[in-house]
Amino acid sequence: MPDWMTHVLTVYVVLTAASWTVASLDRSYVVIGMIGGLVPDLAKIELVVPDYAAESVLGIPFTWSGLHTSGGALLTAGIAALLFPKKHRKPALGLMALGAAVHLSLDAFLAKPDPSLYPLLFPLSTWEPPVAGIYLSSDKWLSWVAMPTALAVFLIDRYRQK
Amino acid sequence: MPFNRRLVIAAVLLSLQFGLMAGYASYDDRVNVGTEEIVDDYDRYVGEKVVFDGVLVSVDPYVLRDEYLPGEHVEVELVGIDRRLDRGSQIGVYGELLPGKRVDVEKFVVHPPGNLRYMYGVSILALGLALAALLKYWRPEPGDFVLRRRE
Repeated sequence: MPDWMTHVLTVYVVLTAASWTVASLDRSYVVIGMIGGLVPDLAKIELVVPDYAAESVLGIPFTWSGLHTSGGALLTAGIAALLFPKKHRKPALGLMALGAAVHLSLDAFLAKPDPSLYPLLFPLSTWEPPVAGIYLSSDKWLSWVAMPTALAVFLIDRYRQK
Repeated sequence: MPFNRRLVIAAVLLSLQFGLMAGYASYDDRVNVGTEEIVDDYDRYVGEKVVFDGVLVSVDPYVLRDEYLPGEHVEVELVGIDRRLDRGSQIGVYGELLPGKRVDVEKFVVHPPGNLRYMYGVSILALGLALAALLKYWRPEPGDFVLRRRE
């Protein structure tokens, strides 16, 4: 994964720019998309409860990595959308799914030693896209691009509101 | 939607989620060889393509330490790297497993030590930023277990 700052701010930039033409997409909805941008990395629970510990308790094969797939992220977004009132639930689901899709798209360009990524579309497909290798998860320049871009979009957005 | 109905839907989605995670683990176990399996039966995997991920603990020769379980690690010598790397770097390698705990490296990625600290620091900051933004526009109502839009 690139750092979470890059994920959150990329979704912020995309949705804020979209809000300039989609009137119903206000800031309260943009922030839901930003949270969606973190959804696939719920798989980082692994750092607190490792896979092997969960497997020994459950007695079956188990990995949190499933949360970092299209199906896993969609289900997480579905569960999180239930936290919103009924009239906001569908937009919340859509925006969180969109945020998660942006996250997985950014991750698809990561450099890894393996020749292929992982089954991104699981459980729909086990096809593993080839590794694009554009950047490392720890590259600082990603957030160094994301932060000024988000600041520029923030200022343009405030200017448009006046 | 009544709270009980939401609870039922959440339970169904959670069950599906756990099913997906179990299914993904089964798929992963079938397709990929884990470090633990290599360590347990090393000779069986000699000649096969493997992945190791860990810290560079020596640079002459290059030796990677992969901590695959708490308190359990394996050290493998990396052959075929023609670039100068720093000790302490986080490194992931892909290559052919050779006899004598060596890997003929075909491809590798290196994370300089400082970059990982930066990544974790800025990520925690982003989490705080996203949660603060959410709470600015949405008010939690613990009684109803719902987030209401602030007017």
